[in-house]
Amino acid sequence: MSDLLKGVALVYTLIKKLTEQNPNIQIGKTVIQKMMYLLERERNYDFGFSMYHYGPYSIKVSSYLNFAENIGGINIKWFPEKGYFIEPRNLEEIETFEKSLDEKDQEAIEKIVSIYGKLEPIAIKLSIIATAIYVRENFGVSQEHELIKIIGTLKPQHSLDYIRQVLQEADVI
Amino acid sequence: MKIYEIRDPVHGFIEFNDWEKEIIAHPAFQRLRRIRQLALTDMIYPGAMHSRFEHSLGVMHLVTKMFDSIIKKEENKKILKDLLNYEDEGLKRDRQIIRFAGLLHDIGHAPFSHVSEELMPKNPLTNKPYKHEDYTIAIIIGPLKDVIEKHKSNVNYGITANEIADMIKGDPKRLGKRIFWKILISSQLDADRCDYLLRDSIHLGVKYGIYDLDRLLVTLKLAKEPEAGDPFLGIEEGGWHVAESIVIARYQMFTQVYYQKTRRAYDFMLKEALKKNIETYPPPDKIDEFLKFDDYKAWMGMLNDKEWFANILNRNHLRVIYETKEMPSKIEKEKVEKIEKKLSENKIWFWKDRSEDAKSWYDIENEDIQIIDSDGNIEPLSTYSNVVRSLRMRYEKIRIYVKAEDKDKASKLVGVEI
Repeated sequence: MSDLLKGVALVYTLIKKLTEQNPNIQIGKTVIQKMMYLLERERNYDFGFSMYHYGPYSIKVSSYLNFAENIGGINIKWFPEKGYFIEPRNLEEIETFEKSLDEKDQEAIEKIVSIYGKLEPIAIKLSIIATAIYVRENFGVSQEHELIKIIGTLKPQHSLDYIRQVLQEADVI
Repeated sequence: MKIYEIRDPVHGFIEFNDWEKEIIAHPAFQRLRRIRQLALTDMIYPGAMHSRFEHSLGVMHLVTKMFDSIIKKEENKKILKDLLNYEDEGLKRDRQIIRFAGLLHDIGHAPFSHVSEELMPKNPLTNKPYKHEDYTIAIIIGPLKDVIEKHKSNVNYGITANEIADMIKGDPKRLGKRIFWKILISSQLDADRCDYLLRDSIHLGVKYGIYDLDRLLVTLKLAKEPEAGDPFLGIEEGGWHVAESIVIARYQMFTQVYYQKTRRAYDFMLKEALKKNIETYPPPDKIDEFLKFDDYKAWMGMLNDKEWFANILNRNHLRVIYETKEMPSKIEKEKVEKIEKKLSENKIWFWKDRSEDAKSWYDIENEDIQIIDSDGNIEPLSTYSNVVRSLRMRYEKIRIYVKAEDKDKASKLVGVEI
């Protein structure tokens, strides 16, 4: 299976399982980017994540989403003031892709969805969590207070207390 | 600081100060004169002889114009203040850091730019190959450190080489909220791609990558992304047509230049010749060794190669025996599989090239550009533009190549008339 098709299979399965777990959740592009980052760490994939000014981002993951939309497995809609909503469209096709993943991939997705899929508001919290993990692992920030301070400068719309609480909730600190 | 000017085919005159002049004159930067922007594209478009050197000057120039345009507008400054607690103080210093980052963002490129990235060794800490950005960082904090930090003008700025490296890699430890300006180096509307679309078009003599840069610059606008609340760079509603023209330019450049069939053949042949004759580059912690590699050294290293490089010199490139449409049908995909099987059975060497392998080099899979109206409402460009909606990179072309000497036999075997 090519990297592209594997990536699409992962994205499809992630969206399907997230929707199954919580049908009312807003699965936007931020959610998929950050969850794929967490999945990359879990399975040691290489989606080429790099640090943008707001957190880790991967062009490859963006291309998986575009491809998945183009071949009709998912719908990506935009709602002003809320952003993107991604939903499964063709479940039969998604399940075909899902079956192409091996057991370890499936288990990793289930793990990520069960840990992070319940967060509310999911995009904001995932954005904080993924950014903190990326900063800690790539830029050698080991002290908790320093990590929180750095995330606070990147995302000053959130208080330091809130950032600490989110990172504690996700067992990052 | 004394100001100098250099003539540039895209931007007219590019200005630089004496601090930047010393960096430009450094051998690590001068090496970029010997790293071609588009590898062997001149085999198809003879004008494609431009280098990373002039592109780097262009990005420094453009990043400055973007920065100046953004902070000139009160509404953008308000966003910076509201979302990032930004103040006017320090903007002059930030401007200089972002100029350095633009100037140096490509300094770690290996010979023939992206083509030879597969020769970069694995990072033992991550078990993933190093990227040219890793070499860029190593050069900035290594050979360029003194020329950046010890210039007399730095007395007024106190800029460190680490801060410039941080801006490029996105490390917020030292820069804090100032890391926001990385948006001008890596984003949907960054100075890098805005420069290379125009530059490549001008040198190649094509019009595909041309768009209205002046209009783009005056319509840059900041807003808050609604999903996670982070600031981003978009375009004012009145400028959506220039955003549309950039998307069309990217698409046209990809289909007509970057993924042109003979150019892809030369990319492949050059990559194979480099892998065979150079094998691997020194890692970033041996940066002085890496800096010895440029296109000339790589070229000399391949001269004795009797296979791939000899074929490059003789313009005996791989030939396409089959290609699908831009969005292949199921029948076409099945045909590709049949051709692969047939060629394998008959022991004919072939290479299957998929456009997806080339897309990431040119960041063609961009997120939608966001359009922001006067009330701050955001809509993706694809909701404004039918053209963009239909262009959403439905480009998945597959090609099968064989060696020139096998072309006739392979064509007969697969029953395709060339």
